[in-house]
Amino acid sequence: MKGFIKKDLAIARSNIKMLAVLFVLYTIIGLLGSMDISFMLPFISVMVIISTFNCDALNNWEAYAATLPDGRRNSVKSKYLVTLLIVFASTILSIILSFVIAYVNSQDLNIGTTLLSMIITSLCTLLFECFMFPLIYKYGVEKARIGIFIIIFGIIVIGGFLIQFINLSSLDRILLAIKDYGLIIFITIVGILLYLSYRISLKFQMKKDL
Amino acid sequence: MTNCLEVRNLHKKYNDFELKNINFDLPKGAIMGFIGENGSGKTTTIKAILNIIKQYDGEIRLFGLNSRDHDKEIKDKVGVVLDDMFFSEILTPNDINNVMKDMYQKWDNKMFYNYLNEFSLNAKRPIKTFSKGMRKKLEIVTALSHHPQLLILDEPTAGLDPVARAEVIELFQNFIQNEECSILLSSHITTDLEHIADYITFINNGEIMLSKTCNELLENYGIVKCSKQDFEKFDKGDYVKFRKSKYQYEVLIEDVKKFKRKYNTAVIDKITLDDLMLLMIKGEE
Repeated sequence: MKGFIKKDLAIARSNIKMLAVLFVLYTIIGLLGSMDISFMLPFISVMVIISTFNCDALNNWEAYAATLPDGRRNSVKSKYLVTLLIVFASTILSIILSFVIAYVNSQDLNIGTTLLSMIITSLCTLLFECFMFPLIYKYGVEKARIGIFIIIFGIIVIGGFLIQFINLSSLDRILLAIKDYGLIIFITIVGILLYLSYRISLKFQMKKDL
Repeated sequence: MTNCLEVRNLHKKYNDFELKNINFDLPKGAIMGFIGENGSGKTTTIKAILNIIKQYDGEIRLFGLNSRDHDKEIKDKVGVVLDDMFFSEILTPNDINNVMKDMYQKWDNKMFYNYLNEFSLNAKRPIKTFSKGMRKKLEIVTALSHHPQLLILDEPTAGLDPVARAEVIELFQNFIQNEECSILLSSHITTDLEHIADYITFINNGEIMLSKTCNELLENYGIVKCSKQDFEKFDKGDYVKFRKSKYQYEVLIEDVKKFKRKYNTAVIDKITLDDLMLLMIKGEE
């Protein structure tokens, strides 16, 4: 398992140059005072993780991994752990960047709001990956990309349609009631979805002819 | 003699191809050459042995253990070289060592770097800078460096020059010296197999045509090159297949001694694995 994590991190390492350029770019934009877009970093981390899938596909790694001890299981497990690791690291980096930009520009920074926005961005990133990974394991990276767009589009369309039938005042009441627990609820939901996503991906990978 | 690998009634059906009732054994301490033309089912069989494909009928046992039930235990003892399946090209041999030492219980750093030196492979260079032959060597080195008991190699010498091929073949011969280790080796370069294989298994169109010791095959089988008139004197049951060419007939004989007794004037040439494959696939009955 550790070996699989090392392998994915070694591949991700090759994207460091690109990430460093983006990091510098965001810092400059932030320092110029136009806007703080450091919250983008967790989103960018998705690209790094997807690039490891691309590399794997290019070299038929999944088939090779299946010849290693417990290779199928560990290759899936490591992808989820590396994802958590990279999203966590990019969140920390975003927070630091926000503080640095605010300090250099002598801006007042609301620590609570900044942390909250970064955490929510990271959770949204993980949420996206919850849906993306099982699709990748089932259909491959290319088809999964199309699949995820269809899912997002579907959610927007269906959500837009259903909102007509929802009593907004009762929704307001619910949101108000859970206001203080919103973040905990969101973290719990993402955690559960991440676990379910892992189980589904694992099921696909364990059964698949590679 | 204990078998290292046993394949029983392996059956796998695709839309356009079928592996039909594959049966063969690889004894401990032996090298088996797995031959057949492109698309004959060699790689599919190897993938089934390694559980890379899982939806198949039949039973595969490695080291006496069922391959489906003891996957992890088995994989720790198997070294693998597969066609076009390996690490990402952006990684270096150093990265591979770093990764593999956590994959296998018996990964041997020292052995890995010794092999890299032996094959003049730079540990710091990314795989993408290696030639095809160098990549193949790296794959072989990686397969050997965790003290496996069985090597499963799909076209391991493809892309290697004759010198490198000779080095690799010597490596394989050394690997089975202790008589505990075995090799299943698929290759198109049948001359290599004639030198090192103890057994030959020949697959065609998803079916095993024969699985015999290499000596038995090269000594018992023969090829008669003759005119049409001479060919017509042979009884149909006395040969396996024949092939007409512009000037002569090539006739595959299964039992050289028996044939010689019956047709004592016939000139029987020694057969090569290439001849055998060609006549079995293209010949008429």
